[in-house]
Amino acid sequence: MSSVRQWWIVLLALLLAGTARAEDLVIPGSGNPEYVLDQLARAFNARQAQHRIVIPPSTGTAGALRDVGEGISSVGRVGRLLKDEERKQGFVFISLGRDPVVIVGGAGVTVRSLSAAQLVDIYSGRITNWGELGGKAAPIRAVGRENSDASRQAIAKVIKPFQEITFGPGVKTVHLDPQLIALLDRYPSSLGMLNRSALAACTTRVVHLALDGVDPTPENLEKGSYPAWVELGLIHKPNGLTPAARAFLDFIRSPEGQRIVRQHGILPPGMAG
Amino acid sequence: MQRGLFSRFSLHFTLVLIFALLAGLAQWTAFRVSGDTLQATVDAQEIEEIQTVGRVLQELLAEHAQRARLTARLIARGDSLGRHFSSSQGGDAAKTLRQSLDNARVVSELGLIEVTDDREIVLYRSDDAGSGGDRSSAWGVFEALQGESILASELEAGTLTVRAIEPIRSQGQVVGTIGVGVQVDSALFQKLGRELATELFLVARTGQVLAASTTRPRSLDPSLVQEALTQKIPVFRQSRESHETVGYLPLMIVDSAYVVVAVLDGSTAYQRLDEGQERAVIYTLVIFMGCSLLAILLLRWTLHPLYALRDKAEGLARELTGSGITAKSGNEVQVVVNVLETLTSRLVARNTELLEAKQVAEAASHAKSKFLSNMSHEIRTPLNGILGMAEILERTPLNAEQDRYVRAIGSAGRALHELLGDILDLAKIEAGRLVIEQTDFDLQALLGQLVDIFRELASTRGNILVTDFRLPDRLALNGDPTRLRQILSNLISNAIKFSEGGTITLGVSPLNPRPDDDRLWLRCSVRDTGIGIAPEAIAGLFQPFVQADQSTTRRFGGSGLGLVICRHFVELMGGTIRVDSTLGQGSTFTIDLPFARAVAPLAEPTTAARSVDKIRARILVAEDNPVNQVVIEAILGQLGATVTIAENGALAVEALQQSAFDLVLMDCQMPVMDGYGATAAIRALPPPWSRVPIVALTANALPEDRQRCLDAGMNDYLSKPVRIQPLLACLLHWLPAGASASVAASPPPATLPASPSPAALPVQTSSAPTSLLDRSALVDNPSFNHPGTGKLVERVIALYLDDTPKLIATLRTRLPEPAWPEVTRAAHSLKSSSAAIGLASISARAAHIEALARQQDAAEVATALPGLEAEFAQAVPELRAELERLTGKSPVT
Repeated sequence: MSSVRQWWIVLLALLLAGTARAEDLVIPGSGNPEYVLDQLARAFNARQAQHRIVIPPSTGTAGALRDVGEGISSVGRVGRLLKDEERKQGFVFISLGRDPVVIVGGAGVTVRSLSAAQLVDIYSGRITNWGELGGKAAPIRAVGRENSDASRQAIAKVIKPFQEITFGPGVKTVHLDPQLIALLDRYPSSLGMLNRSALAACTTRVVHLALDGVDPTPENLEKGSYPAWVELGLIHKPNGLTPAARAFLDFIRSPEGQRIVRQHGILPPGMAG
Repeated sequence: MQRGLFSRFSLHFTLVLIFALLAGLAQWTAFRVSGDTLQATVDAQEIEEIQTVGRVLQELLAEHAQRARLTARLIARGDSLGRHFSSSQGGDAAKTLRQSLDNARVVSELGLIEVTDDREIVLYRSDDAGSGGDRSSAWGVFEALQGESILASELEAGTLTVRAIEPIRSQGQVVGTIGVGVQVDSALFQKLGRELATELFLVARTGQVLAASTTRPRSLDPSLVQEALTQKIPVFRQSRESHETVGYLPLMIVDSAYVVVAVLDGSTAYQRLDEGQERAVIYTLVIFMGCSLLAILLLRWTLHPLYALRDKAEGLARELTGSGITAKSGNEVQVVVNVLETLTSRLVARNTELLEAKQVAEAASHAKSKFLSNMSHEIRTPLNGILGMAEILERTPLNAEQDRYVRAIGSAGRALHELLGDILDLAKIEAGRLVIEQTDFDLQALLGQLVDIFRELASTRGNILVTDFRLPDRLALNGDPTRLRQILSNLISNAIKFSEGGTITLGVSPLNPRPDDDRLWLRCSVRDTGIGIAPEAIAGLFQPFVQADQSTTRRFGGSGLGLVICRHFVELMGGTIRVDSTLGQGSTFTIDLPFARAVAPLAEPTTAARSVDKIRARILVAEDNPVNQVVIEAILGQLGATVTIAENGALAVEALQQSAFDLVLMDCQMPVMDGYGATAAIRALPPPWSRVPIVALTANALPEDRQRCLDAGMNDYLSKPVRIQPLLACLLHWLPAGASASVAASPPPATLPASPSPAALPVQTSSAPTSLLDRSALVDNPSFNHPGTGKLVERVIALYLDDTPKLIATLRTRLPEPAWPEVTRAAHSLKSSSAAIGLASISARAAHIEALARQQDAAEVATALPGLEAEFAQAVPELRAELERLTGKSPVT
């Protein structure tokens, strides 16, 4: 009798210890939602002690697909909608919202707007100096992205020549958003493209250029007048959400989570024009 | 044995092989799984190692870049460059600058130094590619002129250079830039490759190899390069054949993405894997062998009982059927099954043979019993004649010698009669047909009768019969008094037979009650002081046809069946028999028997009848044969009874209801209604008629006949021809006490001299040797020539002469189309009346015809009939002469 009771106590203690232990949920993947997710994670971690969300440096959407696919992580972060073959592999997409892709200049750039054609000319190597565009003379340090990159694909969707562009010799190609941000910060006359919320990670006063005269604001995106955007989201496998993941998703959908999302210029799901 | 060895080997071999294969398979699978896991681990380790190579490579490149930056700063902050820029830019100064920068390049061991002025115009370039005057478009120069320190990569003419670009200041003003570059070329990669023990390739986006750590040509997959770049994650290819892991690592070199291909030689790790697999094969073989050995031992141990069973079955088969079993080939189990099946079928066959033999033996035994009973019947019929004649003869005036002879005939006849009885009893016992009756009886009365009978017999041999009864005066028991009497008679007569001048003690006492047995156990013992029995002979004493000493048969007579029958009776009654004997001193036979308590209280003793003078009873005789009617009427009349004759069963039933009778004598074979039917009818009447004692009278002496009579409800049985003594005994037994009066149990041959002299022996019986007529039966029988019998003999003869032709006519007329019941009845009647009148041979012929008629053998009856007719024709004149004689003179005495 007493031994049975002792075993019950031990079992109960183990269960309590199990529930009490905080789960570290690492959400690897794309750089596009990195900044906003990091902000959400900080708020979530501050609100409760049971789970801890970790947003590691970007490994790209491919990294998210790989890690979730191999079961290394239960949730991954992506900067685009899933492709058909990815959905067929069983990935489930949870949208965080739409984020405008911004044509961004370094802190020293004085030009405030670029046309699509000018952008194509810059990246093709035909225009190399801001002076040619009416700005203060400085070499245009154009930073390109791989054609698999979400931001580049968002631009290429709007500016068709971008789909088959060959970058000029002076254009450098980086893989990840933080690398782009580092170059934007280092080269005042640089030029790149990145979703708006991620640019919050820049340490210098980077310049958001209007595309064909339309500013990349959430308002313009919501109105539908600004055409380039990425769909930020999280992916997981069916029934693959851990309690921590569910709690974090609940937090994102909570008013506070939505406030943080909006604060970073992201148009929540279903709000886009 | 060779077959056995082969079959044993086959099951062994099969099972051992299966065991061993399973064990080997399990082991091999385990090794395979662990091998796969190990392989995966090794692969993962290789990948991890390559990723480490990538990281280390990046760090090493960063270190090199840092060195370049330090060098650039050192040069930029040195005096010479500033002085140069502050002075004129030509002539010797340029030469001096060039000299000093060349030295700096050599000292720093770095590949490339480029100096520009504040208009980005290259003043110096260490590789002399463009020794000056060109505008530098390189990333970082413009920024350095803004005062920034920049680290940038530059792909130029197929060579990747990491450059640290520093502003050159003079008097607080940026006057130019200096870039110190590290060329990420094959030379550097050879060095890094050595440090990392890896083959390294630096690949541009175009697929162009920018640097290689080896001169060995290697084809790289451009699609994998593109995949690594676009997916931004490492791509790995592993080759089992070449034991290589190739990683396509997307790598940012300062500010641009490139692909570094790292080739890791995993031959050592894979070699270890291969060695492990070789060891696994050896272990598998060892385990295979070990399991085989274990399985052999285990099977031998497990199958041992099976072999033992087979050997036993084979031995049994050999022992029982005389030949061994040649099992078909097969494995051990099949062989055992085969052996057992063969054994079983042989046993079944043997069993069938035994059953058939048993049936044959039983049939033979049955035939023997049948033969015995038939023979005894056949012997008994004439024997009855002999006994009857002897008895009658005894009652005629005889001289002493004649008397002795007659007594000898009677004695021999009775012995023969007893022997026949014994044989019949034994035959019935062996046939299992002996039934022990359960009726109430008075034990004391039974013992008294026995003592009375044997006391006299004992005295004839000078023996004294004493009793030792420890019983209440009257003890009513339920059991079989007839068998008890038979047992005790046998033992007492044996005792008398084997003693001379001795004492025979009949002891009867109750035994202590047995637990769970409410029956009364009695111990009866017969002790004599006779010759005794040798110890070695005691064992065979109760076996058939064995006497203690074979010579005793000759000396004392006897069949040797008595004790056997006693034993059977005792055992059938649930008791035991034993003998204690000392040779020369005497024997004691002891029987212990259980009896139930009597159902009803005892009737008043009827033993007084033994001394009555006359029987005053009314007796109904159911008899169809006129001759027999007259004879029986005469005998009964002589005894004092009042007789009423009924000619068939139906009339008997009718007569019984019209006036009261004390007893019915019932012939079995009668027309209209036979004795059995009449008995059943009487028993069905209301009391008191139904209670009248009925005694069967039949010429059929077979034991079954008696049983049939009893079954039909009759009380007793007398065989024909009727003799006075048994008839009287029977009547005394069955008549109510008041019905008998003063008649001597043995009607005294009062009219005969007690011991007539041999000379006075009448010779008339043997005067006509050819005569068929036995005069003693009727003509000269004193019973029928009694003063009270009138002209009885005349009547009998007249009746016989009148009746017999009718019976013969019946036989004749009914024969062509046989009506068997009539033929049988006629023959039976003829047999009966002929015996009664003393025509034994005619009686025998009639009996023969009766037997044939029962078998419905018309041809044989037809053959036998003329003989009967001829003998009757022969007897007729004699009978007529006798009749004339009788009518002419008065009867004897």
